[in-house]
Amino acid sequence: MSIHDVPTLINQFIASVGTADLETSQAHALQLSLLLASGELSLLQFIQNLGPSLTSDNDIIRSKSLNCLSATLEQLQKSKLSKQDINVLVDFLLNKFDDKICLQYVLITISLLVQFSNFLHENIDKVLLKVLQEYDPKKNLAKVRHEAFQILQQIYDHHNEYLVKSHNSSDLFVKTFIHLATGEKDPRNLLTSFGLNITINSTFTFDPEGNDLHNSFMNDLFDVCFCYFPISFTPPANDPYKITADDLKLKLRACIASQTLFAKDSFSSLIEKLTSTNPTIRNDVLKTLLQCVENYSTETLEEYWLTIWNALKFEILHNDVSMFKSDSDLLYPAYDSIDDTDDTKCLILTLVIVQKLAQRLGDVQMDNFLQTIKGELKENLVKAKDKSKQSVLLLSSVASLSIHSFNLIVSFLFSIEIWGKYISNEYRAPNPATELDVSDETLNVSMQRDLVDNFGFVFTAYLELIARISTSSNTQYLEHFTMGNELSHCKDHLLIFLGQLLMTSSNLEKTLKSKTIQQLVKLIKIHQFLNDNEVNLIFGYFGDIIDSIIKTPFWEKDLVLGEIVTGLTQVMDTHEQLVIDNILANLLIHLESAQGDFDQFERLLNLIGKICVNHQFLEILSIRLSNKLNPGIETKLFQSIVELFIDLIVKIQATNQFLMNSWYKSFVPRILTTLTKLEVNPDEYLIDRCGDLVGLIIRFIEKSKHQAILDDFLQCKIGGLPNVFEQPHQLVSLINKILANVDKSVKFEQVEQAEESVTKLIYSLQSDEFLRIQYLQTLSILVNKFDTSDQSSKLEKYYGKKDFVSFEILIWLIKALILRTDRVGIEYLGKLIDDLTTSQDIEVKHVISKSLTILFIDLKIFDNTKTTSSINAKKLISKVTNLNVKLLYKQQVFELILPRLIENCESSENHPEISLNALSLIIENISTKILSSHLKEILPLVLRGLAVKDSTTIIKSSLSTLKITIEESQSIIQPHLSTLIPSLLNWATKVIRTGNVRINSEEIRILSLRCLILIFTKFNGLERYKASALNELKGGLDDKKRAVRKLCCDLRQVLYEL
Amino acid sequence: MSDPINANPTIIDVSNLPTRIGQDTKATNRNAELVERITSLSLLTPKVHHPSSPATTVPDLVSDVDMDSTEDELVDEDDEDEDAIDAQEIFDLISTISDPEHPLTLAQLAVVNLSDITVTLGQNKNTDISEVLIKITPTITHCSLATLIGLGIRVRLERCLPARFRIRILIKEGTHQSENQVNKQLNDKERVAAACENDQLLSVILQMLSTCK
Repeated sequence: MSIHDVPTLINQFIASVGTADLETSQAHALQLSLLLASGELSLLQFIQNLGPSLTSDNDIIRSKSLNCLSATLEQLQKSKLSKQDINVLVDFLLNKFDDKICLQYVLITISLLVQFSNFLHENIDKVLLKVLQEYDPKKNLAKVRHEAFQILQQIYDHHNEYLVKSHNSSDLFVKTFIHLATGEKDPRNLLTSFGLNITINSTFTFDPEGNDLHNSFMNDLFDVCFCYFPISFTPPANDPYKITADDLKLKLRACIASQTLFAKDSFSSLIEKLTSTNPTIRNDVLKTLLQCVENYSTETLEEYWLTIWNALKFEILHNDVSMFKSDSDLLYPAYDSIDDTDDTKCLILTLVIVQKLAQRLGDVQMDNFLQTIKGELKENLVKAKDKSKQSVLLLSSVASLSIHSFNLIVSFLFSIEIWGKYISNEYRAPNPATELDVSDETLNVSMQRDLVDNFGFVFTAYLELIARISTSSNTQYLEHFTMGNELSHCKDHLLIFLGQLLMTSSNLEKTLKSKTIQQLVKLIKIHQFLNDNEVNLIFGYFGDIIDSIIKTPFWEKDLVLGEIVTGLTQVMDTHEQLVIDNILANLLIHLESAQGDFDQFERLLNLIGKICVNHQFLEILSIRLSNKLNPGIETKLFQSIVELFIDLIVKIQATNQFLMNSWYKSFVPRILTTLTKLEVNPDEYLIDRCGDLVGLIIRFIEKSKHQAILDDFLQCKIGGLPNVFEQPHQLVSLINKILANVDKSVKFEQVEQAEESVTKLIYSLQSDEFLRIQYLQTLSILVNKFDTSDQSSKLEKYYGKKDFVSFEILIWLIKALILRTDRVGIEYLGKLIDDLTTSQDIEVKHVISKSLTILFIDLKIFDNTKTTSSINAKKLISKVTNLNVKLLYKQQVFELILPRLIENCESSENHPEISLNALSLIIENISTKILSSHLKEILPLVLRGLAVKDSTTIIKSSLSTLKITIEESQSIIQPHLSTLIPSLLNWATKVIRTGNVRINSEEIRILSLRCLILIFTKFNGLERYKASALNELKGGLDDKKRAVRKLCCDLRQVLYEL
Repeated sequence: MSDPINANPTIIDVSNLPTRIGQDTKATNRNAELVERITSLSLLTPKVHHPSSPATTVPDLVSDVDMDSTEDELVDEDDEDEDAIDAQEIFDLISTISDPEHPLTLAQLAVVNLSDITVTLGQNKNTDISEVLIKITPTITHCSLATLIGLGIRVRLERCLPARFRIRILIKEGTHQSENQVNKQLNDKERVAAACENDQLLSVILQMLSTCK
C-alpha cells in the first residue's frame, strides 16, 4: 500500500461505510491509519485528500468523509499526532458545529482527539465552552447526545489532574455537564450521565457556602439525577445495549449517595417518597436512604439524624411487626434476597438504616440520639401497650451495636418504671403512688407473652453484640463486657421471673411456656452469662416440666415438651454434662419404672432419642442403656432399644461422623450376649435388627480392625455366637450382616469350604423356607465378596441339574456375580432368558420369570441405603468400603433383559402373561430413574396389563408403572386417556373377582385412584369425563376401606373444581 | 369481607386437633412382614402368583357387562375387613373447610368438634338408611354466617358420603340466638337445593371447600 492509494482508500471507505459490510470499511480505515503512523502520509496530506468530500455539497458524502476521519483516528496510536496537528484539527472541528448532519462525527472525532497525548489543556476549555454554548442537546438524537457525553467522559478520563487543579476548568466542566444532562431521557445516556455525576461528586470539591456558583451547581447536580427517582425501566425486546432496570436503579442510587452536600435536598425528598404505598418504591427509597447514610460524611449525618429518625420510627411503630420473632436473628440475615415487592423487607431495611445511622454518629451525637429514642419510646413501654414490641425492636437493634449503647438501653429497659416493676420484688415495695395504679402492674397472660418476647429481643441483641465484639478482634473488650454489664446485673431477677412464669402459669398456656423456654435457652447460649448453678436451675425447671408432662395422655406431641427438646439440643454441645446429669438421669429413672408399660417405655425412648444429637451423649447413653440389656429383658423392650440405637447412629453419623472403635469392646458383645442368651427365643425381626445395628457399628470401625473382627465372628469368639456354618441356625442372618459390613479387602480363609458346607445346609433345609433363603444369601455374599475364583464350572454344574434347590442356588450365584457385573454371571443370565423364550415346559417358564425378582430385589446385605440412606453419599470416616456392588448393575441388566421380555410379550405363542408377570416383578424393584427412559416401550405392556383380570401382581405393577409414566411424560399418555380413564375408574370402584378372590385389592384401588387424581390434575380438557367420573365414583364412596373412600373424596373434589 | 363479625376468635392449634390423616392405621406385625418378604423369594412354591388356569391365549379383557352392581350384593363375602364410617372420618372430612371470614379452618375455630358428631349406621348397608348428625357451634351467638357454614358442611358431605347417608346439621343447643330458624333452613331440602343454584353463594362455598384435605 502506498501513499498514492490514499484517495482510493478514502473513496472505498466512503463507498463501503454505512452498509452492512463493517469489516471492509474498518480495513480501509486501518490502512489509512497505518500510513499516518508510519509517516508516509502526513495529516495535512490526508486532510487534503479528504478535502473534496469534506466540503462536498452532498450531506451524505460530507458526513461519511468525517466518518472516515474519525475511523482513521480511532485506529491510530494515541501518541502519534503532533500538538500542531491536533490544534488545527480541533479548530477545524469546532467550526463545524452548525453542520447538523455531520455533528455526530464531529463529536466523535473530538472525543478521539481528547485521548491523544499531545492534546493541550487549553483546548479543553475551548471544547467545553463550544459544547456549552453552541450545542443544544434537545435538538439532537440520542446517539448524537451519547457522543457529547463521551467528550466529557474522555476529558475526565485523560485530563482529570488538570481539571482538579484548575478551578475555572472544573467549573466549566460541571457547567457543561449540567447543560448536557438536563432533560436526558435515553437509558444509555442516563447511565453515562449518572456515572459522570458520581465522578464529579467524588473528585471535585465544592463550597456552596462561600460560592454562589457552587451552590447552584449543587442544586443542579442534584436535580439532574433526583428528577428520575424512583426510576423504572422496561428494556425493549431487542435492546442492543442490554441495559437492565437494575443497572439504572443502582447507578442512580449511587449517584444520589455520592455527594454529601445533597443531604439538604436528598433526605427530605426521599422521606417524602416514602409515603408511597407501593412496596417496590418504598424498598427502593429505603435502599437509597441506606446508601446515603453509609456514604455521606459524619458531619452531615450528625446534622440530619433527627430528620431521618423521625421519619423512620413511624415505619416501625405504625406497622405490623409480627414477622420479627424473638427466637431468631434480630434481622433476617439474608434480607437482600427477599423480593422487593414484599412489605416486610421495608421493615427490615428500616431497622438496618437505624443501625447504620447509629454506627456512623460520633460519641456526642450518639448520646443525643440514644437519649432521644429513649425519651420518645418510653411512653410505649411504661405501660404494656401495643407499640411495645415495635419500640423494643428499635431499641434492641441499636443496643446490638456497641457496649455503650447496650448498657444504656438495657439499664433503661430494666429500670423500675419500665420492666423493673415486673421482674423484681424489691421494686414492688408498698408505695402509695403506685398502689393506686394497681391495674397497671398486674400482667395478664397476653401481656406476659409480649413481655417474654420483648426480653427475647434484648437477649438477641446481646448475642449479636457479642458476635460483633468477638469478630472485632479485641478480646479484652469481650472479657470486660461479659464480666459486668447491665443485663448481668438483673440476671438473678430475670431468672426468677422467667422461672416463675414457667412453673406457675397455667398448663394450658402452651405458648407462654414455649416462649419462656426459648428465652431461657437463649440465656444459656449467651457466652459466659450464666454459671453452671444457674444452668442447673433452668434444667431443673425443664426436668420438672418433663416430669409432669409425661404423666398426661398423648404427651409425646406436647408443644412445650417439643420446645424443651429443641432447646436442649441447641445447648447440648456446650452443656452436655449438665444435660446428662439433670435430664437424662431423670428420664432413665422414668424409663426404669415404665418397663411394664411398653407404650410409655417406647415414647420415653423416643424422647431420649430426640435429645441425643451428638456422639458424646450417644456414648453415655449406650453405657447407661446397656445396663438394661440382660437375658431376662422382654424382647419388645430389647427391640426398641436396638432400633433406638440404629436411628441415633444414623442420625448423628449423617451430620457429624465419628469412629465407633470403642463400641466393639463393650457394647457389641453386650448386644450379642443378650441376643444369644435371651430367655425367650428371639423372633426373626429382632435378629435382623440386631444384625443391622452390629453391622452399622462395624462399618464405622476403622478399616484396619476389620480382619480381626471377621476372624472373631468366624471363630465364634464373641458374644457366645454359635457356628452357623456347621449346623443350621437362625442367627445366620446376623452373620450375613457381619459379612456384608466388613471391608471388602478383608480375607476370608478357606472360603470354598465355607461355601461347600453352606450349600449342604441349603439342600438339607428344603422344608424351611426362611432359613434356606438366609443361607442362600450367605452363599451369595461369600461368592460376591470373598471368592475370587472362576465360577463358570460351578454355574455349569447347577445349570445342568433339574431340581428346584439347585436352580435356586444357581440364581443366587448369578445374583452374586451380576452385582459385580461379572462376565460369567451375565452369560448365564442370558441363558436363562433364552430358556424363558424357548422352553416348552410352562413350569420352567414360570420359575424363571419368578426368579428374576431375586436378581433385582434390593437386600440389606447388598445395599447400604436400606439402613443408612443419609450417610450413603459421603465417604466414611472409617475408610470402609463394604459392598462389592457396581453402581449401575441394575440398569445394565435391565437393559439386557427388557427387549427380550417385550419381544416375548408380543408373540402370543410364548405365553405373554408369564413375561408380563416377570416384567412386573422386575419393575417393582427398579428405580424411576432407570425406568423413565424406557417408558415408551413399556407403555403398551402396561395397557395390556390393565386388561388382565386375574393377577394382582400384574395389575399392581402396571398401575405403578402407569403412575410413573403419568408423572414423567404426559405426551406418551395423552392418546390413551379415553381408554385409560374408564378402565381406571373400573378398577377403583367396582368389585372385580376371579372365583372367590377379589382381584382389585385395596392397594390396586388406591393406586388407580392416585393415577386418576394425577391425570385430572395434570391434563387439561378433561371436562367431558367429569359427569361420568363423578357418577362412577359414588360407588367408591361406600368402599369398605377408609383410605379408598378418602381418595375418592379427594378425586371428586378435584373433579368438582374442574 | 369488610368487617368481620367476630374479629377475634379463639383459635385451636392444628396439631392439637384429633385427626386420622397422616397416621398409619395399620399396626403391622413386622416379624411376619419380614418373614413373608424373605420367603417370597423362595422358588419352591411357584404356584402362588400363577393364574388358576394357565391360559394359552392373551388374558381376557375385563368387560363392563360383568360388573353389574347386583353382583356384589349377591356375593358379599368378606375378603377384607370393613373400616366403618365413623365420627372421626366425618370430622376429617369437614374439619379443613375454611371459615368464610377468617383464614382458618372450622376445626381451628372449634365450630365443628369431634364430640358433636354422631354417626348412626343402618343394620344392613344395602337396605337401611344411615344418619350423620353434626352439631355446629357458631363462634358467637349472633353469627350470621352460621347458615353459610352449615351449607358448606352439607355440600362437602353430600359430595363425600355415599347416598345411603342422611345428613342432619343442627346448631348446638344454646349457642345461637335464632337456633330454630337456622336449623330449619339447613335441613330443608328445597331451601338447600335453591341455595345451591345461587351461583354467587356456590362460589363462596367452593372457596370454603378449596382448602379441604
